[in-house]
Amino acid sequence: MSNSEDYKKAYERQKLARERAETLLEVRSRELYDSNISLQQSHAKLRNNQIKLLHQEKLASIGLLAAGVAHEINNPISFVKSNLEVLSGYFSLLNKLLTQFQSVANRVYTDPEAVDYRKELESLIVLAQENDLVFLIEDSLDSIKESLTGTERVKDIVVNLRDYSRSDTDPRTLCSINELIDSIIKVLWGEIKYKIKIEKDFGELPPFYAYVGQLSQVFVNIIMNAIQEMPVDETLKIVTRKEGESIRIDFIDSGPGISEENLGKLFDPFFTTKDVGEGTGLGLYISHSIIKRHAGTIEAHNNEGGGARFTITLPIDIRNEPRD
Amino acid sequence: MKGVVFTAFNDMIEQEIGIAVWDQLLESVKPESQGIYTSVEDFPDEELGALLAELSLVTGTPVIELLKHFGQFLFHTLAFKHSLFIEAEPDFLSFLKSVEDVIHKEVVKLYPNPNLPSLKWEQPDARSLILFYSSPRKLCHLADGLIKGAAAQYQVAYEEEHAPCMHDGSDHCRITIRLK
Repeated sequence: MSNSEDYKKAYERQKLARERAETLLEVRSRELYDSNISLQQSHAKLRNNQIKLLHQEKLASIGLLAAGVAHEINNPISFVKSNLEVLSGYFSLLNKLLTQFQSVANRVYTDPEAVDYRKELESLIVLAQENDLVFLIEDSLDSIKESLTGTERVKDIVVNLRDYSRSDTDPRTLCSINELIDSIIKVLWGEIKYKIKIEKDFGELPPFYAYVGQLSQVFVNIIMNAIQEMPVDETLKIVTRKEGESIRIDFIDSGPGISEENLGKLFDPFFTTKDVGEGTGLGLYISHSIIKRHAGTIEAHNNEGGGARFTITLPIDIRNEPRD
Repeated sequence: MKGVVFTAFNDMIEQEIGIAVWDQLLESVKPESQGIYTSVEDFPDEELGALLAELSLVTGTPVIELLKHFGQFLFHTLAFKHSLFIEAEPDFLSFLKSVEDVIHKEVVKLYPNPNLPSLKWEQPDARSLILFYSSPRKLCHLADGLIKGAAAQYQVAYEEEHAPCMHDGSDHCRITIRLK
């Protein structure tokens, strides 16, 4: 075989090898394209599920809140009801007195000669004294005042709940972080007051551009976790400060702290140290997502003297675009 | 331009005229790629233009004729590599319609920036089809050759009318195909 024929054969082989490699590459590219499409679909599905989870977690924490809120509302409503019952009795007596007075007045008007004024007046005075009219009037005013305070408290709880129940799709609005934490404490007061103490150390903060409903959910999650983990009558300290161009919020509890093993998993989805059925394991994961959406960070540490510390840092710059 | 056009051009020269002419073309044109073509890369349009112009000088055949001839060769190369697209279409006209609707869509999936020509169509009746070709490359004569190659594949005879043409200043070519 001549030298040129050898080269020709080798050339043909190489050409076939190249074509085979090109075909293989095209097949792989097609497979990659299909995988990519499938990944995009999975990603869209996951995002959809994440939105649903966010909503479910919110519903779960609303369930937790409900008992406390019901108690908080029940208390003032009970004494408003009791006052109204007392007032109803007082008004029956007042009505009796007024009827008597009208009867005397009618008789005086129709036949003044036949009326013994002194006697009629005495009977009215006796009736007023028998029913302690002075006390009745004073106590009525007190009951009305007390009832107004009670309804004001109910109104407060409802207003504070409104922040929490704002829709997840509401746009970012300017709010005061200190006022937001205050309103969450009021909403949770029914849960807090019998279990832990709250110590607030609020610094002066600039207004912050927030998804208010979502940020409220973060504060609820952290405070509820503290209530569940801390011994009775211990203090949860909440510190807010402006640090450079950020707002820093520390929740410092005196609970058992977080084990080194769990520190790294705390913000993972479905991670919970609670018993089965007692926690969704999504509270801190969702809190982390919400803080990330505000371009901020949330970290958990153990305090040197015991207990855990959750630190949230939120950049103040309102031009920060939300991160999804 | 997709590398498969260049590898097919290389094959056509080697098979029909000889490897020596291919070497001669590369020697004269001195393309930036040095003639090292693979079907999965892109290469500058100008290289094909320069190689065609040189081939025209060597063979004495006008570039338009060369392009039409190359179009037929290219069709058979593509039909061999991607026979699926031929098998999927029962007849010549439905295949031509599938170029824009199916084949180009598949190419886009494999190659992110393929710079494909637009090939819209209208079908006035069952035996004719109007193709509206437009591309900044103005390779409508290559398209004529590809159509001829497809007709040979489906073993049909047809008449073609190509007017207006982008080479006469129109913003698109109107290519009317009538089955005989």
